[in-house]
Amino acid sequence: MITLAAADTNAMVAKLATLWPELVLLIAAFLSMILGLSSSRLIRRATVLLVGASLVIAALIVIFCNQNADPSAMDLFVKYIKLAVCGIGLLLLFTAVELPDESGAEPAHGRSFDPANVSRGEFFGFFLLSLIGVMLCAGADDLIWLFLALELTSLPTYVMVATSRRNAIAQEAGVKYFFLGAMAAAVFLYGFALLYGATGSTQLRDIHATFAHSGVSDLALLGLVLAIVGVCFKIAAVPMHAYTADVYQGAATPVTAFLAFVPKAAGFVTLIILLMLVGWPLSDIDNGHALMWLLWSLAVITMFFGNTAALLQTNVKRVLAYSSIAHSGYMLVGLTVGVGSTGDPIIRNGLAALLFYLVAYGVMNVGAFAVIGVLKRRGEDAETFEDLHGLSRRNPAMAAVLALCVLSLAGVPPLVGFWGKFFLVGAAITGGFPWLAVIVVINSAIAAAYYLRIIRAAYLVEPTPDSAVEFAPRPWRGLSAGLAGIIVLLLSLFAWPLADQANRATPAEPSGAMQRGETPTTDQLAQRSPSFNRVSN
Amino acid sequence: MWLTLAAEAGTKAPTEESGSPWLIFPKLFERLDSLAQPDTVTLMRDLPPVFAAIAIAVGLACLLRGHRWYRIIVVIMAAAMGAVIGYRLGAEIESAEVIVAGCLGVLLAVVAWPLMKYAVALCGGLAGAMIGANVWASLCGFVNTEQNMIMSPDSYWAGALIGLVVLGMLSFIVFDLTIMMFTAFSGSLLIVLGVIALLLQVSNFQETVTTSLQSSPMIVPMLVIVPAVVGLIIQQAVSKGAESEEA
Repeated sequence: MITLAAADTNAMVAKLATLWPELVLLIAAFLSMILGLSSSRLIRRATVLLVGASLVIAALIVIFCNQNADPSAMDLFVKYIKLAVCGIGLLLLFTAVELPDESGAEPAHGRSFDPANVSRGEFFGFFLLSLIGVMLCAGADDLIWLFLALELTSLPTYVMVATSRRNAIAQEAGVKYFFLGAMAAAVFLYGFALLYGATGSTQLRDIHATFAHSGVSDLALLGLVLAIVGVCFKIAAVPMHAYTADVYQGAATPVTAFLAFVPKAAGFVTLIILLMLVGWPLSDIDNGHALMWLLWSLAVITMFFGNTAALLQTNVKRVLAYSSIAHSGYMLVGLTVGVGSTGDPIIRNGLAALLFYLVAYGVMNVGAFAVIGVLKRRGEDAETFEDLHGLSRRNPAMAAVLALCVLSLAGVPPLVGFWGKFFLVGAAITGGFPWLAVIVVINSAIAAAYYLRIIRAAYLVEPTPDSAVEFAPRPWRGLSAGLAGIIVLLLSLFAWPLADQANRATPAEPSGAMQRGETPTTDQLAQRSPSFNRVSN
Repeated sequence: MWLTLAAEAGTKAPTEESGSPWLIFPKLFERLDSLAQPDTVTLMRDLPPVFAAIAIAVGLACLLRGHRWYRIIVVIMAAAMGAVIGYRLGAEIESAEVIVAGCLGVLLAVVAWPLMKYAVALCGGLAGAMIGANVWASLCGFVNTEQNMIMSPDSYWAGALIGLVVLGMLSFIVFDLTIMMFTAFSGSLLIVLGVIALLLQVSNFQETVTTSLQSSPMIVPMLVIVPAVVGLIIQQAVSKGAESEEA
């Protein structure tokens, strides 16, 4: 009994030791929330420095602490996601530094201070809590943990959307996002419940072992399908994409950039973990065909829907919202293909291509949104194509960053977006999905049409004489755009180091899983799995 | 008539031990879904009429003017929460219930003032949890039959969690509305409990009230929610009127 308790304690201490980056961010989040209520404007403003420093410290901890001599692919996967979250989180933070001043989260000059009317600290606190959620998703070893981590990612974003602008549109977007998010959470939670019912455990390694031993039962398949469909909300994929355009448009631009990366990253991490329970190639597993065709269909419909809907838009934020849906479709291709054999190059590894694309998309996306965030029309976000007219003459640097990021999103060679699509298409062809590769290429061509419209508006169309669009003095947002542009360039020129990291970070099995061929005893399975009992009988 | 009832109620002194509001209220709120448990609500018969009258008066103030006095209400609620938690901690640790209760109550009240925003979120969340738990428990009584158990009454915490998250989160989005919601709910709760306590002490009404309360788990939650909604609407109207006057 005592030995067991000691073992449990040791396991908990070992688990906590892997959570230092999250703990640092958590402390910073609470400090930010408290300091944000200070009556001193200087202290309130310093919260952003605290948040930035915590992200840097968390990244350093991920890099230098808990170094295993022989890290597993799962360890590298967790490390890759945490670093990506810290890095892109820092860019997103730069984009959002000036947001509280724009959204009226600070009392106007001359008005007395009322802690109930300031929300700078809580905004950055929620910002960090959402990032912590993604990092926790990556390290999840249990369905309950995974659910809570996903909700930790989402709940702060509902508040961030609603409070990012002081108008009814933002509040409407926030409420819409919340209710649809709650519905999606119910769907994937029901899926998790069915998975538990089918395998008798919430531990991922136990579920994996059950699937490895007795295949995926019909009940487990239904659970997986519901979980995947529910998580589609986070990644803004069909059929849970309906909120995307309205919410992206309703939120302030820095929050839109946040939404386009953070919940999507959490969603894809969750999908990778869920499908890892079954293993790839999906077609080799009982009931795996159904999952494969589900992912295949979701990828194709999401790509076509996102790209064709984006073509019809006149608002740039809505275009980027629909393009975000399409990009989820591209990334679902990587998930459908899955991992190859150990030692395969990235071109044969769908998951590695996905991980590469996720980071590339995050950077390109922040760059594009940061540029749009700098433009203002009568104090409001500039969002339409007309607002971009003549951008190249008014601010050539911002126009160049926008062009770079948008061309990269379109997949124009040799930019990083091209490499991302190249790896995905290559993985689809070598993984036996040539039609999927063809569809990705067709969709890239469709997407080029609306991306080029943005470039045309910025470079080829003269602004109207009475244009009210102006460059707001947003140095941090400009810095974020500049940094994103530089990173896009660097990743375009030196894509292989990132590709190599992504390739090394593709896990085939959940942490602590038994090796292939090593199966649990029949008694062990029967003890925890009602469905196993039925199969055996 | 009310005077006669009050006089009759006043003559019935409860025992010192059972009539202490410090014992009744913590017992009443041991479960978040206590309003949907008629047996628990009938504990109110032991509440002295003076305290019942105070509960009604404070409840009316919260119900109709909660938005204006929310800072004081939140600080009092923080102190009360601290006192209850401290009382329990003190009993477990050193048998120094009163000291620990007092210290924790003062501490939470002091902390609640500068952190008013989060204190409101907490109060809103707790009110949401109580509403959620009671709605869940009431629905259980409504949809479950002897043959068919659709919702488990023991899972009332699920309803509480939903309410906690929804109202806790709403407080960051619509701060003023959340204040009105939780003050209206708390006020309504105090009024209903106070009135039940008074009625249960009148011998003519005791049986009728007890039977009515026990006829359905939905009765007390409905009795609380209806005045709460009315209070919310009144507070909203008063606050809008004040705003337009200021403008």
